[in-house]
Amino acid sequence: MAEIVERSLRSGQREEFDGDVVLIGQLNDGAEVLAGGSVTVLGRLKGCVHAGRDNGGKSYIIAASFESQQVRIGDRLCTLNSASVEWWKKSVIITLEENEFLFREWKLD
Amino acid sequence: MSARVIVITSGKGGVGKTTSTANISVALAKRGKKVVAVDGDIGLRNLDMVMGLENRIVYNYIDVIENNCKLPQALVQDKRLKGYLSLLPAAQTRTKDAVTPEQMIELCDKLRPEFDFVILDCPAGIEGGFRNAAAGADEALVITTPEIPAVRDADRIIGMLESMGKSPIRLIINRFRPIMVQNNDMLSQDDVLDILSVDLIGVVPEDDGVIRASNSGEPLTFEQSTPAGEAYANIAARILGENVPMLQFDANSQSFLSGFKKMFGF
Repeated sequence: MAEIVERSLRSGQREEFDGDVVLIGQLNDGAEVLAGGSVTVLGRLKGCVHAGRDNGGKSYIIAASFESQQVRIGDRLCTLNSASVEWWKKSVIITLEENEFLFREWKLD
Repeated sequence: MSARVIVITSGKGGVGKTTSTANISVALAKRGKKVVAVDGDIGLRNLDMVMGLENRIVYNYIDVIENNCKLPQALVQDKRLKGYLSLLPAAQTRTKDAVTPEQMIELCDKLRPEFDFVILDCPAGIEGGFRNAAAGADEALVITTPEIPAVRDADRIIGMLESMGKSPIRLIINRFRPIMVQNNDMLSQDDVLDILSVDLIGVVPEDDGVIRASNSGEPLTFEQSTPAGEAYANIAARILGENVPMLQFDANSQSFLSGFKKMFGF
């Protein structure tokens, strides 16, 4: 069962969950979501997400619009900047493959 | 009569809380409302200077809370708008710890029957001073400038005000410079609203008159002939529930000045 959060998180707000989380709203800059399992943001992901804290990184992060400068899965960290990634502001799914971050654009077709 | 209690806050310092408090209070008083402006910044009081009332202070609200005087003794009447505008000063020789949120709620409740509006000038920060100033308020006006750090702090404050149950929470964008927005050097109104997703109550343009007014103790809304003074008068009208159209900043205007000339139709 996933935890469903139906609001936006503003700067300074932090939500922590044991399992999977679905955020129906924006994750603003300066807000944090920490999850034991996977994190889905059905909005803009601008803040910080740490997924897979309890399962050694076997989790994913999905964002309807990816606009964050840092993501974490398990004990791995990835820093990004807006100019260098082609899927900025696009829908993405982020996983760990052999301990490396894999970003794929989330396309319907 | 039971006053609407409105806190003016921002998180970040130096974005125009005190200036906005003074100007909105004057503008509401000019519209015939009984207004008291309360300086929430204990130990770093400024509102008295911006309103030009510093030399008239005898008591402050810490004296009221500690029963050193009665509330009417601490209120400083503004003679320019006699009977309509008062200042309730903070203590300069104390710190934020001198009061508790409960005492501020009690103070606001004492003011409510005497006024139409209680306007609370909040100190910068998210600690005790903010919590004290916000405690007694029903509504909030959040000030930001069109810069990322100010907008980020405004987002933080809006989150805290929401969880305190303040409503409505409305936004003022201060020190707006149309030319810089046109050149993509400044966040636009839409950029700011896109990040903060709250209702906008007004945009105040950058105006040299604000600095002159702070130094002279004569808030701009006494005159209203300046761009910022006009913007504050409009904000006051919107607080009163009037439907005043937002000033339109013309992106094609040749200069800052001609933009305002078009804006005000002269």
